[in-house]
Amino acid sequence: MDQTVDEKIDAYVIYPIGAPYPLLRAFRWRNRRFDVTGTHLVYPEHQGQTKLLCYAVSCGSQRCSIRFDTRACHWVLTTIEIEE
Amino acid sequence: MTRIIIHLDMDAYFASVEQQADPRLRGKPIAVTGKPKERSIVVAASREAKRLGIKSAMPIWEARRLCPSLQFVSGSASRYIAVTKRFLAILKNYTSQLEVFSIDEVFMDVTQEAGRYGGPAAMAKSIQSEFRESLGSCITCTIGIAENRAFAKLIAKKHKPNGIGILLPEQLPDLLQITPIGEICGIGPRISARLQRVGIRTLADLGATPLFFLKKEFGVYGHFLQAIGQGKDPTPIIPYTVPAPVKSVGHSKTLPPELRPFPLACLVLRGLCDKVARRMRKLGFVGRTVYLGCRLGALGPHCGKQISLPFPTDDGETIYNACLDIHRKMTIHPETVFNIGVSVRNLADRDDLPDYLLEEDRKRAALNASIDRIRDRFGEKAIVTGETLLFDAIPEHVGGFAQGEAWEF
Repeated sequence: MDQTVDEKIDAYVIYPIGAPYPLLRAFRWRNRRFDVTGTHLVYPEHQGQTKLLCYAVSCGSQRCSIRFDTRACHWVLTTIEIEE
Repeated sequence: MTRIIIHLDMDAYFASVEQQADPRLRGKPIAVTGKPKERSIVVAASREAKRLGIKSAMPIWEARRLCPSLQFVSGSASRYIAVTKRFLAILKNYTSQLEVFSIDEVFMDVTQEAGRYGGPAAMAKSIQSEFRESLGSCITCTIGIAENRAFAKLIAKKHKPNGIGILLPEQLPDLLQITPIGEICGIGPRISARLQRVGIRTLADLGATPLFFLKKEFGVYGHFLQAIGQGKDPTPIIPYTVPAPVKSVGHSKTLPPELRPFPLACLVLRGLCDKVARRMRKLGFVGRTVYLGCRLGALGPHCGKQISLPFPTDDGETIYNACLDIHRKMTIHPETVFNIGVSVRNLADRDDLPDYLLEEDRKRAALNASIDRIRDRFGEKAIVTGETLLFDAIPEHVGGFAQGEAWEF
């Protein structure tokens, strides 16, 4: 089941040459480090003038949705899969 | 081959994108819907769901009855558009003769470029492998190769999913003999039924029919029909670099039962008029002819009427008032409507018209410009009319590309 979080996170990213978006490698949420093991889809969304990059990623067996606000440079954990 | 046309069709597109985004959905029967409510419909079904008989446009209750384990996923237009832009950017590297036919279909004229890749089949394989690498393993496409558009599309349909089909000129006569007329793009169900009534069932039958008969029955469209029957399709590829002319701007909405009485449908209509006006202002158009259309049942009759305004407009309220005028003038006054739509035609460039003469019009234009600035900055829902607040916001369409919009990729 997905839990809605909407909390800012510390993100570890790389900017590969030629890639259309930064690649998320790991993030820290509530003092726990999550290593990104798979990036499934990255797509932009717009909220008015603000462009958001939405990441659908896996951290081991957990699936997470993460949002990058390109204007404010904030990374936000949107949802995380929790075990029932 | 004299021309080499590729038709590229994404397989179960919206469902594949959802499966790519969420690995938990992979290998499972899923259906993409607008909103997961009983009255909604299946917008797209995954390959697994299609195997179980789930089809696009099927009501949710029917899909659930056919397949109780079917998972419903709310569609996200931004996801699909993002993936489309990404695959179009890849295809642009293969040829500039690329026509965007819909959100998940593309025609390409690769007559010049195919040789560089070792032939059209090798080129198609290269496209498929590049897609796998850039878009993910779930998002696949089927490619049809023929001498023209209609037959490239037909051959792609026969090789779904994730296949490559080539129609060689020597295979064409056999294909014409076995292909029913309704299977080809460009011959819809009504034309197909009319042709079948006079005994024309296959494309070969159509090709053998005298041109004078087809012209008598279908007018200039008869030329197209005979060409298709002979394995030809004269329709050219219109590259993405050539902007499509905008002939009208419109929006429509199928209404939930509680909004079907006409006075309540007017609340939705107000929002639709606002959306139409906003798009017109974005595109820099004003229009004189307003059309209001209503469908009176799920499969019921359609009634519509248009009026011409004394002056062209790009204002939502003016369009809405014109719609109310149209409703008053209609011979049928629908009490309940299933679907309501508005479009503005007879478009002209805003810049070609003189400035507003009346103070009231100037104020209205300034107000619209301010509203547009707010929406540009804070989003479409940042400022809405009071009527629009009374019902759920109209969802963005996810069906395809709107003509005339700029698609940068």
